[in-house]
Amino acid sequence: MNLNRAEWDRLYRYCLALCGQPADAEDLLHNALERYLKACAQNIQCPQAWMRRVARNLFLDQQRRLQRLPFESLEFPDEMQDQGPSLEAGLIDQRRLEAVWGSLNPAEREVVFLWAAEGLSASEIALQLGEPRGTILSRLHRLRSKLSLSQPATSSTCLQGDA
Amino acid sequence: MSDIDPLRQQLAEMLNRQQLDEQQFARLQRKLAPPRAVRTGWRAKLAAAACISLLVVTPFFVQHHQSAPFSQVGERISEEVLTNHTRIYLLDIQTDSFAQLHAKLNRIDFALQETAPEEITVTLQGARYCTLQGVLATQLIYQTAKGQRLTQYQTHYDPERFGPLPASRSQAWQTRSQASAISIRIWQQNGVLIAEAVPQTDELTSGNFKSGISLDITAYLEVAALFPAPTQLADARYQKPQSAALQASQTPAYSAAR
Repeated sequence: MNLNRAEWDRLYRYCLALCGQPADAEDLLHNALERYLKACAQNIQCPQAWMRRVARNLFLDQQRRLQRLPFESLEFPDEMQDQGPSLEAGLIDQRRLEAVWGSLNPAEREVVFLWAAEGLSASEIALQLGEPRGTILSRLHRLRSKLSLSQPATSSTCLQGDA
Repeated sequence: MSDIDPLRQQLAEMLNRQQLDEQQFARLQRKLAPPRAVRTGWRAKLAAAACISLLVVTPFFVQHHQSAPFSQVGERISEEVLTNHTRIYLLDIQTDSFAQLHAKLNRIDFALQETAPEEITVTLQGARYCTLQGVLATQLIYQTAKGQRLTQYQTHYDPERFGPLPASRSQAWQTRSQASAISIRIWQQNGVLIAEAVPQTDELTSGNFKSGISLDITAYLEVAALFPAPTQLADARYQKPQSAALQASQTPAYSAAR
């Protein structure tokens, strides 16, 4: 496997977005790597994408086993499907952003990660995760809602823009 | 839609700050490193199977070995002693002096014991290195007044290996081979296991030695001349005695002690 350091970091960040905890993220990454090594690695054309998918499946299996499923079973209601809610483009206090990030569930964190860190559009995320675009948009909308709720009343921060 | 989304950018900056530290990265690289083991395929499986078998079998063997009553160990020692007794090997040291044996047998890890049967007069002929139940031992060769050979084996006494043993010659564990008219005594003294193969002189003198084996070349020839087929006797010298032929008879003192 010829992944460079930056690619390993990207995989780690993805695992961290799913798990929320660094130690869990590292475990997940190692488990995905073990799967990769056990699999016929020569036939895997894009190891990074393969490992990301495996990590996601492993994480979902683990959550189901533990009956936690804060993932909201991936059947997120599409109430915002056609509205295309925009995430506001205003500067937000860093600590508040981290607090909101920490309050998101894994499904939301995954979508926000792909949207923000990986730079994917809602349609690309939907395609990658195999979910309706509306579901993706609703998760992005939830982020916006949480940011709005956590917005101090006196704040002059303006949330605007579109995803 | 703005070209630069501040929220998106802010989130990206926050998320991209997270990265593997050096230790985490090193752990991943170690996992990726090819295994050092050279063995692959069926050889690796064979080696693994052998290791597992050894792990499974060893405790049973050790348990059996440690808990085996001495009668079993004693019979094995007796057979080995009897076999060695009837064969003639070159001596490592030819001497009638125990002091010289002490000086020259420097490979042994126990104190050589100077002990001989009281009922017969014997003369030391020499000694050689040997093993007893796989442990380094010495074989001391004595000759009786009648020219018969008496052999004595000494090795370090390990109670876990050999089990409990009487602590004096007078209480020695005894067995007797009727086929070869040899008595074998086993005991321990001063941390040394001693096994002694003694010819049954009385049987020789009373003419009950038809099926027996002489222990000395001279005596053998003398006895063999009385029989029509000395070659058969000569062959019998090198046959390993049967276990059934060994009739263990523990001394009452030793039985009571156990």
